[in-house]
Amino acid sequence: MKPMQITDLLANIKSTFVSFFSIFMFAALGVGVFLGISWAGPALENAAFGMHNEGSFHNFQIQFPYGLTKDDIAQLAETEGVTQVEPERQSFQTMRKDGRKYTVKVQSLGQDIDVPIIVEGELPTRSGEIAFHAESAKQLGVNIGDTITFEKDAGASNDVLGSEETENTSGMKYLVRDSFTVTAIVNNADYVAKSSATYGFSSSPSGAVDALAWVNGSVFDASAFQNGYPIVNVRCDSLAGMNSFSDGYIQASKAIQEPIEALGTTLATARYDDLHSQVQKKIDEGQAKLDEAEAKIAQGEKEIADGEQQLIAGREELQQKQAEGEAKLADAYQKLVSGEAEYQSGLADYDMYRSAYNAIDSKLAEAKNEASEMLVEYNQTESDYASGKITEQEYNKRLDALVTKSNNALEPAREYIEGLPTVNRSNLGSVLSYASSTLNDYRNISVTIDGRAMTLNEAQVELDAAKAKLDAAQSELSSGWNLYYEGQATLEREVAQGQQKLVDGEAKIEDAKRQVEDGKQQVAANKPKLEEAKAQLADMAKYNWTVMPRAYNTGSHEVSTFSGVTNNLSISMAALFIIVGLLVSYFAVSRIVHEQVTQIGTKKALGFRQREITNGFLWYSGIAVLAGAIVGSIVGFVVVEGIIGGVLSGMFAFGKYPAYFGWGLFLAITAVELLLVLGATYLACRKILKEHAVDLLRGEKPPEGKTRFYEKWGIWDNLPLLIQTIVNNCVNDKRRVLSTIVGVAGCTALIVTALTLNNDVMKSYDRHYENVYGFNAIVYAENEPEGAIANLEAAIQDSGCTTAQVSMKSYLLMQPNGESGAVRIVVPVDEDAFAQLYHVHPISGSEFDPSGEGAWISQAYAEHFGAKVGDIVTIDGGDGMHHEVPIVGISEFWLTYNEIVMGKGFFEKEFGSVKPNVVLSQTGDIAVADVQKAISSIEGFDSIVDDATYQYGNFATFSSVSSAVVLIYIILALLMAIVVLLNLNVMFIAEKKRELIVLMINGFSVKDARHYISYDSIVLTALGIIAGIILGCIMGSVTVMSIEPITAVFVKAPDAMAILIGIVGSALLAIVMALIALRRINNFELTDINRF
Amino acid sequence: MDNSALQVYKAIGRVQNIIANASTLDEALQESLKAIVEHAGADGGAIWYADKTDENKLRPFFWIGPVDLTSRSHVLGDGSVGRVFESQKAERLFEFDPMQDVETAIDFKGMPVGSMVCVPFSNNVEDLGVIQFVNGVESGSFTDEGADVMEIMAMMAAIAIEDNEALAEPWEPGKVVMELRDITREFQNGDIVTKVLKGVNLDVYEGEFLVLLGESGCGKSTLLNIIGGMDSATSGTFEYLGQDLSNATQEELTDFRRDNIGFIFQSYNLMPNLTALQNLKLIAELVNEPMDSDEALEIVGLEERKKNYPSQMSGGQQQRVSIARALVKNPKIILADEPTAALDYATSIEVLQVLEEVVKGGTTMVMVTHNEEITRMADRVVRMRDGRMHEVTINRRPAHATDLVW
Repeated sequence: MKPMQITDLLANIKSTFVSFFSIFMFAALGVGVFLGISWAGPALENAAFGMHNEGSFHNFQIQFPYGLTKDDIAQLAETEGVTQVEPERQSFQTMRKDGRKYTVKVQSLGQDIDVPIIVEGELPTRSGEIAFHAESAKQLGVNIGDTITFEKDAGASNDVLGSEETENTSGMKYLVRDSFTVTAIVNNADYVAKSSATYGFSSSPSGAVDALAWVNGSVFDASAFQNGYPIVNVRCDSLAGMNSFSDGYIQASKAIQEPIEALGTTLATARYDDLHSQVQKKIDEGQAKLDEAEAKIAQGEKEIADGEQQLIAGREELQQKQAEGEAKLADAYQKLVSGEAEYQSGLADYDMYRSAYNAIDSKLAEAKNEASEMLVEYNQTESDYASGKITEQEYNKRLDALVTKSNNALEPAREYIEGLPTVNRSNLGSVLSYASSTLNDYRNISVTIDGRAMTLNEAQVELDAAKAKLDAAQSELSSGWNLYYEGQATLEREVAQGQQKLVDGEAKIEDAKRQVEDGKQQVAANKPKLEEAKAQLADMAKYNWTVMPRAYNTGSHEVSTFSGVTNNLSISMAALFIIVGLLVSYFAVSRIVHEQVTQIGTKKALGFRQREITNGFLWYSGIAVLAGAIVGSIVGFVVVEGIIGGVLSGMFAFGKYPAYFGWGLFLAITAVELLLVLGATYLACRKILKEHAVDLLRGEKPPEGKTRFYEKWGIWDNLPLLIQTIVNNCVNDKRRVLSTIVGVAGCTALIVTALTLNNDVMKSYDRHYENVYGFNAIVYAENEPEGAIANLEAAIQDSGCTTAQVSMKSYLLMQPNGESGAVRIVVPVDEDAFAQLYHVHPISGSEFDPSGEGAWISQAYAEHFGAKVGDIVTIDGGDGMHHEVPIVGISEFWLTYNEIVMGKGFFEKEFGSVKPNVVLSQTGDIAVADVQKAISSIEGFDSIVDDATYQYGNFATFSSVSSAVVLIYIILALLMAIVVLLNLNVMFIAEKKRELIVLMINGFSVKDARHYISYDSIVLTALGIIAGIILGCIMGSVTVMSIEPITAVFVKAPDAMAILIGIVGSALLAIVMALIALRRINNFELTDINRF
Repeated sequence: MDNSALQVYKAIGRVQNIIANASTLDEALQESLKAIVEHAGADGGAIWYADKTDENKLRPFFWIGPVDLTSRSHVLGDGSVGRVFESQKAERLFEFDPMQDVETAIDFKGMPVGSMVCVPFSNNVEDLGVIQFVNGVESGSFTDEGADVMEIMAMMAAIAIEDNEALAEPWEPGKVVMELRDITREFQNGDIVTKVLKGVNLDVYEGEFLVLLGESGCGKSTLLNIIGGMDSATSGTFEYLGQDLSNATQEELTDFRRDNIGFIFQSYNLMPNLTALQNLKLIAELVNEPMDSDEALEIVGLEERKKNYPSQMSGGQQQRVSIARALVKNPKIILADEPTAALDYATSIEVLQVLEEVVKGGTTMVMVTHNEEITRMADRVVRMRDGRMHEVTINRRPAHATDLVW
């Protein structure tokens, strides 16, 4: 261009800056959005690659269920391209934290490969130390210094042979200890994604891995791993420095992978043979032990029978001896009792005689004393009377009293003293003298005792002799009793001893029986194991090494997935902006051309060639596009990448998330945008530039008014003038109509697209729990004890929940793309209960039939792999066999994984017996935590998962990405509103200025003028909104489709809320922009009418 | 012969020429007055005619100067003009005392009189009136020599009037609907202030056809904008039917325009997307008692084109629609800004015929035009110069549109 042409161009830009800015802005938006979202993918990949490098991430991970031996590893290290090899072991342990059970994947600490990246603390150096994954630590609330105690093993990655169930000293199967101190919080390049869904599967009932941890390799019990290493990580120097996600890396990686796989084929077979023979040997040994045990049991049973016989004989002998002893004792007892009776009789007689003797003796002795005393008293009385001491009266009185007294005192003696007279006053003295002298020798007085006359002395001799006899008899009796009791005691002791011997014998027999029974049980228990081991050995699969490049890593796969999502999003987004941008450019240039028609005519008249004038406009648009592309790339780099990066970085464990700038894509999109806009510019000015100068010099032709067909309709004349005006304005100004509709539609489409994207993702979750899952919680039960799941289910039902027992297990689904993916197979046990909680809604194929021969597979698989009813899906049964299952129905399913429902009969036919391991539960208003409290102590309870909440979290993850896009879309909608709507309104008002001034001169108030011009805008806005809703719904569906992972389909339906917000949002934006533009009418100078 | 005498003769000769070549008496008098005022270096001048219907009064016919004498009159004996007519003797008031001649002072209140000469003029039959010459305060006093020339020239002009050439009936203005006093309008562009109107005093009378004439930039369109309520004066007063609109708000001015004013633009300014009828209806909806839109189109002779869009009509037809649009509101005043400027002669005459009919219908019309010929149709012609009213002519014999030729 010549200097003045440049000056002219710059002046043109200056005078039509709003139009220039529109083209610039749309170029910037198109480029910025496309590049920003597109670059988010490479940025994500770069960040992941950065972490790969930082953590010395393996280039390959070899997984081999039988484990690589040290020799295998040595050979692997020698393979071409392989630089470094490091074995790894892992096991799944169960731990409790705050009352909840977690399955932790414990791995051996990488020394050179997959080296944990320290976030905090120091890596474990001793066996009692453990490093915890940063995200896991956060989720479980684990901190450095905490002590972690594992409760039990939940399996190991090589647990395919059913290794020996010998526990080591820790009580654990795979680890030599169960308690660890957390010394480090780490990240690991093996797990770039934070989601626990990328941690892999465990052999716990739920199959989930909740947390990751690393310990020293020495903590693993090598014997539990058959001294092999089920995982070996490989690094290759030739791949270092190549981005893990680049095509170059993938190609170079494949070249190394092939020889490794070839080596694996050879070594895997050798390992298989070795293990097969080892296991065979163990089975043989086991069989021998079993046989020996059975022989011992037979011997023991024989001995028990003998012992029982002896016991019976002993019991009979004892009973006989006891009877004899008791008979003897009874006889002795009888004799003793007779002797005793005799003795007692003699003793009674003696006592009687003694008593009689004593009574006589006593009577006579007393009478003697009385007589002596009264004689003394008599003599005294006589003396006293005689001496006059007493009166006669007193004397008589005393003698009378003495007479009475003497008669009474002598009365007992009268029986034995013959002739003893009765005392009176007259014989008082003599009688008393007589009595006194006679009674002095009363022991020789003959008395009658028991009819026998004898003296008391004689009686006494007899009594003493009888007493001696009695004493002798008594002594004899005592001896007899002593002998008796002694005999009795002896008998009892001998019986007790005999009985004790019998009891001892019985105990020995019982013990022997128990031992035999134990032996039998052991034999019974080991027999099936042995049979199982034999069966396992018979079925022992020949595995190959699974050589997994980085792309197979779940975290890396997650990176690729989101990178793909952003790439797809960028294309759909850029398409919108490029289309709208093209229209904006076309209209902007078209308007400039029309405004400058006189100038163009003048230039033509002055000798400018059409090409030169065209070039001016092309330069105009070109500069705007180039400037826009540069600014757009910066906006994309800084803002768009920043927003998306902010979301993605929250999902991944990258320490750094550097934004990405790619020249290639920048230049490509700039070139495309430039070409398109230049094309639009050329089209916009081509027609006018073809006209002759003289025609152009007449100025812009007024809108061509002509009678339209509809004006001939009768109804037209009856329409209000307002409607007629709006219709004609719109019909006669197609450029504005189209551009306004496009602007509003674009704005609406952005809002609707964004919200549809966001809502449809979440709607998928809602729809799933409305249409498919009638349960919200999954309770996992352990295999033991028998019947545990029934107890659990009963307890859950007691809590007020509805339940259904099912078998639910994950398998590998062989996908048509050559890869394999997880699929969960659900088999109902109680069909009625199942039907209440799991609604199989076939989209195609037959209704769910529990006795059906085939699988009802989720729709995502069918949609993404084009599967249809009648096709076959291949499922790795985990038993070394691939099962080909016919699809009989494709069922509605909205969650983010594949699921298959099969009838019990078909499952058993294909996969073996059905063991219910899960209780599907609908807790209703009851909190899952409350249900957990109610059942956690029940034996056999493994875990409860609030599945609805867990799945909600998965959707929230997707939604968080779409939320970032929503934010970007809303910002863009705002920008579009400003750039397009405001610009259009301003342009429209400028174009209508003359009309408006005329109307205002004629008496239109500013308000009237605003209304006059707003009616059109309202109609056009409404049309634009309608178009935008349609476009937004289509784009929303396309965008939703673009972010679907291969395992999921999301709802792709127009969203009422998105449409409503789109309508309200666009209307508001249109109103705001219109109001801003309409403010210009306030500043209209009516006198400007003279300038037109 | 000294130079001054030569100038006097030249001036007299010029007046003779004007009189000889004038096609009408009015033209002869107007042009003569212009020549005399120019020669005398006077700021203004006026020809006062004796009112034939009321011989006691003198009424203005034509005047030069930034004043509007239209509604003024002088009673015999009152003021200098009255005295001169009555005495038929010229008066020379070189040092004018407003207190001595209040009537004159009132007439020229837009231009404070500093010096004045009044000369009677008559033909052979009767006394016709008085010619008045005025100098503003700032222009200095007339001289006797100047006054002599004025008298001679006035006499010559009077002589030119033939005996049988009777003056037309004097124009009797209706009531004043608009009154503009000392209207100025300045525009500021950066530091530069441009004074477009420098003090206009003008009345608009009911039912008159007033033409504003002048060169480009003289301020006539600005004046029309102010009259139409589209613009406001920088200073001065503007009253409409006694309502002071000098400081009216935009809303008040909008109401004023809506209820009272119809506009006709040079470039028609029809709504391009509306048919002729729709254009009218759009405006008719603004007022409570509009004319029927069809009737308005019938008035302008376009009832058959009512469904035509502007682009389907010729310029003349569009302008007639524009006139109908102005009429449809039944406005008090129609303002027309160069309504024929964009039209060819024949079309212009068609349009002017319509306007003539409108005025006949009693509507006040104020028209801005460059076309001198059109002034012949007007009741009054105001010539603007340099932001001021330069001269005002009362057309006592308005021509028909069909009589105009250019």
